Parts: sequence; structure tokens; C-alpha cells
Amino acid sequence: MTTGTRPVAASAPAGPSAPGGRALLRRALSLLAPLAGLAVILLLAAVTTPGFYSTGVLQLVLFQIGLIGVTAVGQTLVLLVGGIDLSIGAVIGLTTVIIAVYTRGDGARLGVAILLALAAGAVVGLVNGLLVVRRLVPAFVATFATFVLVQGVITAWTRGAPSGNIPGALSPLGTGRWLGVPVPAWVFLAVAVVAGIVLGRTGLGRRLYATGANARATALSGVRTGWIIAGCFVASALLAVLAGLINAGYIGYVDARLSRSLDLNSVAAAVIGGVGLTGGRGRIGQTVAGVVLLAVLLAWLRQLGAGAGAQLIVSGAVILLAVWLQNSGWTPRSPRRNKQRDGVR
Amino acid sequence: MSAAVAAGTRPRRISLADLTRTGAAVWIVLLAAVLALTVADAGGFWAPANIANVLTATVVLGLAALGQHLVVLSGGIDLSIGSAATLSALLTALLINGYPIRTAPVVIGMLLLGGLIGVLHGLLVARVGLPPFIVTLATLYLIQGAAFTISTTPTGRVTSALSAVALERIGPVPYSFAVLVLAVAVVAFVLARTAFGRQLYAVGGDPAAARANGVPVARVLVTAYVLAGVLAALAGVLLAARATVGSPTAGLGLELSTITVVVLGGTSLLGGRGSLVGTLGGVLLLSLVSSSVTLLQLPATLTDLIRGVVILAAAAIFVTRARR
Repeated sequence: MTTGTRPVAASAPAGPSAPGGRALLRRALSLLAPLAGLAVILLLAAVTTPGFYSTGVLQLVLFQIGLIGVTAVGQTLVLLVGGIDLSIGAVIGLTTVIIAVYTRGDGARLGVAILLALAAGAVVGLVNGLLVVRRLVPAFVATFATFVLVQGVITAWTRGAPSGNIPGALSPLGTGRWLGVPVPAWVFLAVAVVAGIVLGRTGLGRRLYATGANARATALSGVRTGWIIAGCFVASALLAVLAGLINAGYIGYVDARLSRSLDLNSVAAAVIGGVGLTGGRGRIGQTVAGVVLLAVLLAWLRQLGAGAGAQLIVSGAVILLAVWLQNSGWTPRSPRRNKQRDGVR
Repeated sequence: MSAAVAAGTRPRRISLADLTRTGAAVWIVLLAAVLALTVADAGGFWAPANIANVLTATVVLGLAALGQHLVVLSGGIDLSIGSAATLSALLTALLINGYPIRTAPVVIGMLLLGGLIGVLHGLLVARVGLPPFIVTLATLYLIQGAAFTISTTPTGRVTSALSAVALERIGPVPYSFAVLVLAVAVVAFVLARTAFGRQLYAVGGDPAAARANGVPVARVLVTAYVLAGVLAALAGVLLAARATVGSPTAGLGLELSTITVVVLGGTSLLGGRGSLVGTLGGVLLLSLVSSSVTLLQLPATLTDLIRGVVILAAAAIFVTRARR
């Protein structure tokens, strides 16, 4: 086994390579599908809902982009190493409950409460990572299990009726604006830029892509793939805590239903954008495109007066359609794909 | 890497892994749980009413878990079982709405609906080649959304004949237990004695090899998902019968419970290997645990937490190490 200076750079797939002419073209093309989808939705929205192009709706869309986007970046990291994180919704709920129960509306205790929430998120991410890395549990089973466990913790802790207030000091994070744009959107932008630089410009990013593309080969070339995979789960959980803070600051109280929903928006956004489910394929730019598309779609549905049921249907259909499109052409064939064809995960 | 080492040079001793794989481990845990409950509260635990509670809890979970067992054996997973059961329960109560004459056609219609959902899953997995967990995750959303669109509150009413099946019992054995026994017998026969059963193991173990040997991989996969859909729909009918109304959240969490019991039973999530006896032990264990919360007079809010701990423990301890 050679320990060269940059052992994995060559094996990294198209994603992080330096953008030459053709690579740049390919990048533009990979964004084509989500942008075309966005154009279609914007057109449909213009036709069906006259009030769609107003500042009020735009602000709402930007807030949604921020909230979904922060979790989608974490989800993208996990997807890139071949996993999936289904515990995000539970972590968001847990964050809200921790903030409300610990501070009881007292702004002076907010700092400690945020640290507690971050610690709780790190623990959840670590449990996910350990199950996947050490016990080789499939990621969707491990994170689904922690989802149920965290839900159980919330129910047992709050006796099924979460109460308490969110301190007002947190509300700028949820409802504030800077240069006319909601703060959550700025937070998302910062998170996305950092993630994009780490993925595209650093050795860590290259190792991450290589781990997702072929964990075994990457491990053999001296990369600690276990740490990278576990790190992605922890990062995803911490970003979920951040989303939880944004959400708590926005609604200002504890929503009992919040922790109940298996929040798939992050998965949907990443997959619509073109991030592969089998690992090693996808960039943050695609996730951003997917987030914008999903946020506009959800806002349009709300404008149409669609209920919770219709929104679930659309989310499900969109995931299915995106995965289907991803699978049928315009991505290079790989041995993995043939395995999928035989019904193997 | 470590998996290869473990598989290579292990002397023939009965290890924890063997116990897990054959499903013996879960029965040992089950026995220990029964002993502990007997010590804790013999009179309460062995009372016919409590035994009936445990057995009633096994019916819905058991039916759904049988379907999950088949799908997992094929190398897939079905995350939409809970929502399929929900839709079936809701529609059963809504369509029957108290008219005895509608009972039989509606129940048959629900089983067909379940089969249809299964066909969709099977085709998307086997023909289009999408990963099973993402297909069924998406349909989880689709079907749950459909249920919410139909009604967001409990609605409809089943006939007294149907609810009698779920609620009445002979001694400690509820009538509906017979449905589960019948389903178990059918699945056991199919797995052990039919060509489909053998092909299912082959497809789950190595689809490429199975195809090379002339196994109709796509047909086997579709059949597995169809059976899972039908069993989930049947579980939904019994959910409606038990509640006498149809709730749009009736089957919530059933998908994870079924995965838990399948994992507890030592079935490999990679497919091709698993024991039905183990899965049944898992069903009994989980039913025992959830009904013991009431027996031991623990607060009901602990139920979710205990369920979560069991699930996480099952994932951490019982998942047989993957070969990658």
C-alpha cells in the first residue's frame, strides 16, 4: 500500500475536479433539469395563482429556502458518503423542546440551552455514525431507529405535552431580515458556501467524495473512511440543530406536532437537485437548485390551498420522479447501477 | 474487512452470531422476558385478559411483519407498510360505513388495493431499478398523503361482525389470532415448499447469480412486494376492525416496528438469509414489551421511548454484520 501525498485525487469522480471547459459544461448541464423544473413551476404558478409574485410570498419562499436548505446541506454530505439521514426531523423537534424547556422563555439561559441542543445533536449524529460505521447497519435503518428513539425521548420527557416558551432573543434568527432578505436564507447561503468550498477545494472534500464512490478502495489507500462517514452524520445532525433554532425562532413556541413528522424535505431537495443516492455523486450547487425548486413548489401548493395530504403526495411524487430521472440516462453507467437493476441496495 | 476475517477462521462453536442468525436469540430473550414478568406480576401477567392483549397486539404487527420478512428476504425493504395499512384501515371503515352487506366486497377490494401498491413497488424496483428504500420512502409519503386527503379525522364505521373478529375471544385467544396463524402457515408453506420460496432466497442472496441460473428475478421481486402489500392491507382491515372506525394515522410507525421484529429475528437486511421462526419471536417480543407498559402501570408516554430503545438495541446488536 503506497502512501502517496494525494492518493485519492485521481479516483474522485467528476464532482470536485478543476473546472475545465468540458467539466464546466457538464456542471451547467447537471443543473439543467432542476432549473427547467423550476421554470415550469414558476410558469404554472403565474397562471394558476395570481398573487404568487408578491413580496409576501417571496419572503416566505426565501424563509423556506433557508430552513430546508440548512438541513439539505447536511443531508447532501451524508448522501455523498452513501448514507441517508432520516433523523433530521426528530433533531429539529428535540432542539425546539430543549430550548423551550431549559430556558422557559428566559433569554439569559439561551446560550447554555443552545450548547445543550448542539451537544444533543452531536450525540444523535454520533450514534448514527457509530451504528453505520462500526455495526454496518444500513443508514436508513440506523437513522430511522434514532428518529423513533428521539421522538420517544421527547414524549417521555415532556409527558406528551411539550410546553415552555422560546426566548425572544432567538427570534431574529427566524424572523429577522438583513438587506431585505430573511436571515435564514443568509444562514443557508453561508452554510452552503462553506460546504461547497470544503467539498470542492479541500483534501477533506476529495476524501469525502472518494469514500462515497468506493469506500473500500479509499480505505485501502490510507483514508480513515470511518471517521469521514461518522463526521458527515454528526455534521448533518448539527445542521439539523441549526435548522431547529431557526424554526424555534420563527414560530416562537413549541409545536407538539413538530417532532412527529419524518421530515423528508432535505432528502427531496438533494435528490431533485441531482445528488446521487449511492454516494460520491453530487455538488452543493445542485442541492441549492433542488432547495429552491422544492421551496417554490411547496409555496405554490400552499397558495393553491392544498392541504397537508396534498403536500405529502407532492413530496413523495417529486422524490420518486427525481430518482427515476436520475436513474434513466444522463448519468454515466456504473457497476452499482447494474446492481440496483437487480434490486440490490 | 473484518467480516471476511470473521467468516474465514471461526471454529465450530455456537456463537452469539449463530444464535442471532437462526432466530434462537430472540426466543431466549423472549423466554427471559416472560420469566421476568411472571416474577414481577404472575397473577396479572398470566390472566387471560392480559394474554389476550398480547395476542391481539401480535395480529396486526405479525401480518405486516410477514410481508416485511418476504421483502427483506428478497434484498429489499418496504417502508410504506405502515401507510398502506393506514389507507386500508381508513378506506375499510369509510366504505363499509356500517352496512353489513358491504363488508366482504370492501375487504376484498382492500386486499386488491394492497396488491396494486405492491405491483407498483415491485415494478419500480425490479424493472426501473430504483433502490427499494427510496421507492417505498416516496410511496410512504404518497399513500399517507392520500389518506390525509381522504380524511384528517377518524371517520366511517365497521360492522359489528367485523369488529367481533378483532375484539371477541375464546378464553385467552382472540378470533383474529386465527387470521395470523393462517397467514403464517401460508407464508411458511410458500417459503419452504414452493419454487417461489426458493427463488426468493436466491434473488436475495445474489440477484446476478440467480438471473444467470434462470430465475425470473423481476417476477420474484414483484411477487414479494405484492404479498407484502396484501398482508399490509389485511393488517389495515384488522386495525379498522379493532378500532371500529378508520383513522388516518392507524398504521403510524408500523413500518419501523416490522423492520425491528425482522431484525430481531436475525434476518439479514441484505437479503437471502433469514428465519421465519425468528421473525415470529420478534413479533411476540415486541408485542409483549408494548403491552407490558400497561401491565406494569408505567406511564403511557414511556411507550415510544421503550419502543425506540428496543429498535435501537435491535439495530445495534442484532443486525448481522454486512458483507460489503
